[in-house]
Amino acid sequence: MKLTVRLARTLYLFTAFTMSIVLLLAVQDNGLAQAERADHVDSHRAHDHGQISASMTSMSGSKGSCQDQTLNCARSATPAFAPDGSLWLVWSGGGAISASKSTDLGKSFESAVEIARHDSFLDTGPDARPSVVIDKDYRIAIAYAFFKDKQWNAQANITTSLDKGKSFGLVHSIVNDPASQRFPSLALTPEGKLFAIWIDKRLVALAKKQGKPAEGGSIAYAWSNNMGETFGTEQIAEPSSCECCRIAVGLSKASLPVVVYRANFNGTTRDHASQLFEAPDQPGQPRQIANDNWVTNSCPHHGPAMTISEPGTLHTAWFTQGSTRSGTFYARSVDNGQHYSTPMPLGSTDKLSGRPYLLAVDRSIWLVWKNFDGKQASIWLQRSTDDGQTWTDPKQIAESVGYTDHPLLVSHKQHVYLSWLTAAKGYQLLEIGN
Amino acid sequence: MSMLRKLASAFCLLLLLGGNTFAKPITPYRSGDWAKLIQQTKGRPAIIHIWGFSCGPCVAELPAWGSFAQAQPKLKLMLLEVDQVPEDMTVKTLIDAKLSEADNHVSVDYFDEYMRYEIDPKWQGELPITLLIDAQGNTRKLRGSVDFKIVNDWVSKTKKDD
Repeated sequence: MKLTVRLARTLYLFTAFTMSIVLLLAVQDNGLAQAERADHVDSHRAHDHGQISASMTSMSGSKGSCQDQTLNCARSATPAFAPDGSLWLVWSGGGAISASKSTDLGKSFESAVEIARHDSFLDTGPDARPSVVIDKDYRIAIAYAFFKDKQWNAQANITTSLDKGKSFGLVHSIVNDPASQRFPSLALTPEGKLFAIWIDKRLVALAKKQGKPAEGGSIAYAWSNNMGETFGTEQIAEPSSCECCRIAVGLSKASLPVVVYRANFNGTTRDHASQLFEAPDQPGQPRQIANDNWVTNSCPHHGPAMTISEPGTLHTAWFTQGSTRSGTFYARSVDNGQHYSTPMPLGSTDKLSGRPYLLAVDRSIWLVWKNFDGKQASIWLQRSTDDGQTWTDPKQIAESVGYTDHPLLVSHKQHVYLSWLTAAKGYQLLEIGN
Repeated sequence: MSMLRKLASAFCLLLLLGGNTFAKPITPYRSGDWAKLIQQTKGRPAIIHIWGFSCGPCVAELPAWGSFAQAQPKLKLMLLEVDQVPEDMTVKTLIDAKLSEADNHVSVDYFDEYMRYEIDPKWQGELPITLLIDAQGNTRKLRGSVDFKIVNDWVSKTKKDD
């Protein structure tokens, strides 16, 4: 009997050992285990761009490949100034959304707070980024998206801090609808009402359920009176839009939302539209910004920028590959989006100019974009002091090798800063004007 | 008991993998691999289709590529997925689209502008894109979901040229 048990044990051991070896080989053969993906997240930069390898090593100490949730390894970082001049940065990286505060204009940051963790289900697509706003009472709202199932349906989440970022409430969905929602953007009125807008797939899901052809997404929004702890009724601002580009949002002089997004004109043309709200729950008609005529059924992953200056002028910049024009462009409207100026080209298609961003302080407008030449990325600036009528010549203000985020602009008390996350040089906050 | 549990786990995992053994292995794609991919097309017509999970039109179009692959079994078709999603999702999606026998590659590096630049210095990242490469290496690029009439016409032409 004892011999039989021993034999059975030996057989078990042998079988387990053999199967483990087979299993290991199979996993290695397939070569796509999640661990391997993570191990190689930044390997190409280490191999191909020696300067970056050195810089990243110095930044990340003994970490090796960059896969954790620290700012060093982040894919996107969004800034916002608090009323006391502290800079809050919210970033996406290592499968988590994290936030931290700097009291020395981005030179150093306090210990990061993990807002949420979704690992490989976090939306880190090329145009995805967390959105953050801080009100005059130092309440903070942070929104982001993650993929909630293996059909890659997304969910737009939000969390709120009521105590200057000392603690954050439970992360929860902005939206009650079960369909997919992505690319949430936040805006805050001077009265403290929070506006959230996102790409919503409920109409597409409904059409598909009814057996009707459906593509793209919709532009949907909701208001919150308590910085995102709860939201009012979700509403559709525009039923048909591109589904894979983030939305630019600002406020008019009447503190009503103004949004610019990649629309889907006639179901075929992914040109940009602006839409100005006439009342908090009354979105106006979307109007085409320029007849670029980009007829495509693709995901550009390249959303627009917009800002509104003190006179109420709407400034916008966008990327297109239309048959009328191709590249990155700027235009302005002085009549609430009814008409736009002739698009002004930014950079050049040879330099892959894109990812524009705009910021207005009174009548001064700052406009930045990113170039990439195959070796490094550079940030270029044009400035207007007459509300966008004339512009300075483009000037390079930053450059970096390795992974770089989109350039953003942020201001505090008339000081304007470039906010740019780079893997090689770390987070950059550069004052570019006042 | 612990050994039994381990054995059962290993067996279950093996069964799971076994479910995918009908699929050809998916090749990890890294920075610098584009030249190797192109090398595989040398001297014969090939199609390289680049897609991503974060792109709705890409996923919607995959079954059509599956039908195309079945109708053109001798044509070299390579697919490159650029988003880092859990492996079982990739495998299931490819099986559902009848593309498990295609030559599939998945980027294991974050697919940034350096990787796009290797493929096309003017590519801004829109997806999907499809490259039709003839036996002489001449490449035609199709942006967005394709019109399969264009692809089939190209296949017919390359056959005539042979």
